[in-house]
Amino acid sequence: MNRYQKIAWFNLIVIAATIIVTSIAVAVEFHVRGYSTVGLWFVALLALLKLTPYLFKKSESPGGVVSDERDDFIVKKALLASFISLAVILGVAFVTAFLTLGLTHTVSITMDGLSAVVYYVSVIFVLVLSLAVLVQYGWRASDG
Amino acid sequence: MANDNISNQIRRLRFDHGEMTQQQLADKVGVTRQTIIAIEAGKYAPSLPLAFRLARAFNTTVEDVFQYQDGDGAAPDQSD
Repeated sequence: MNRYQKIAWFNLIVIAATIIVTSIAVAVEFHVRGYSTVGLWFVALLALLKLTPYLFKKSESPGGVVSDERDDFIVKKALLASFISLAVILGVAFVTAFLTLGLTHTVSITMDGLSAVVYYVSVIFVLVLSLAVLVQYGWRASDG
Repeated sequence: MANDNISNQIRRLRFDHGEMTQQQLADKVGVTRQTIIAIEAGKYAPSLPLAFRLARAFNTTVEDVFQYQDGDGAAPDQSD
């Protein structure tokens, strides 16, 4: 398993763990208090994604090769898939808003709501990027 | 990425050259062992520069390393 695969698996595990822990925390808090605010704080677990450069340092192969043209090709295609998926999601969101609210309807969004949108869009980007990397390497650990 | 029309003789050439390992070949042409494995398995079609480097690693031509076949299974006509 090379560095890109390890990072992709780490990203998927962190995102999955965040979704599970946050869901449980929100559900428990909602059950106890009738509303949920603290449970959402567990979304901060996603900050672990920022640790990848320190956890997975570039290690050279015996020949001194860190990555090659195939790795670059795979990462470029994964990035393309991520951007396309974001474009599709945003497109669907705008079309849905247009169809449900109409062209002249005025809506407002709070700053924390806007921050959440940007945050979750970033998570979707990392999610698609990681999945695309793993799919192209063939999910395998050793010989992909 | 993969190209079903391209086959290669890398595995045979490695063994013909003193049972060269995939890692040794990878080091010689400047790629990772994973890439050599993917090329050998036909899962990755290398760039032209890498194809030339592979051929030079075996002291042969690109055509001896890689073979291209058209969709109908016939080799392309190379006559002028």
